[in-house]
Amino acid sequence: MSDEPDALLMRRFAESRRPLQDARFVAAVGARLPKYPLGRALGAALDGILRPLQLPYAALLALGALGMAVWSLILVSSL
Amino acid sequence: MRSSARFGEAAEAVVVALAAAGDREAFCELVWRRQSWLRNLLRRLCRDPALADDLAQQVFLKAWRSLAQLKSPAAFGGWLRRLAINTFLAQARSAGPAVVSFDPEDLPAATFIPRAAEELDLDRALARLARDERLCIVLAYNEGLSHGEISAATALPLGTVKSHIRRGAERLRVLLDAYHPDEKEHAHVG
Repeated sequence: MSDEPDALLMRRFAESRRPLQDARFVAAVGARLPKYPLGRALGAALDGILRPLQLPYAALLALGALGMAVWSLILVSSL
Repeated sequence: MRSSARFGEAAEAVVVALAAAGDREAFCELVWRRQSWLRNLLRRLCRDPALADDLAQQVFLKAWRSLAQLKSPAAFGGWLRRLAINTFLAQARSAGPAVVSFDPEDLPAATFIPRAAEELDLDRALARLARDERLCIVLAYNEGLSHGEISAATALPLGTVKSHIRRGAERLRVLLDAYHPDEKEHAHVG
């Protein structure tokens, strides 16, 4: 059997299309949009952590920062 | 009233790219541009306008959450349609099997009087099809998808899609011919 669509049905479907312009629907969707989608927020947080590690000498910088933190802790605890 | 004049006649791919970057106003513009098409599609599938609008809202919310995953902004329409089909199928499965038995002989005689004939529209004829038949017919005739595309979108085997479309079209023709005999004669003459 042919897979060709039925011409009469094609016409019926084309004729029955009617626009649904409803500002209330758009407003309802807008009101339900979360301001900060969780997935996007987690992605951004992860990006914020990982992006500096892609810098050149990131490991050296991280080691230096860790050393500074330890040195600060020692200084504070000796007071 | 338009949601935003900021985008004017901007290409959809541009608006999609902005929305994917987290621009809420851009996303509302997409909702404005696509809501009529999406709600009409879901109304055809659901048979219940209120449920269809609720599902349409769910589809847009899912789209907002996962728009960043869309690799090509130009593919937004097809991606949104896929979300709509999945949302419809999930809802339909949770509601249990929806099998509508069809036999034109079972239609009440009163529905064949001229007044009722004028009132019957395509949606009501579609409502008499079984769920999967209706889904395949709507995607083929309303959305213009090929059988292969429907198979991919619905996860139904290609042979099943073809048989749903063949049987569903036949049933629709019987229903519409019953209510619009003039069209049938016209089609046969043409």
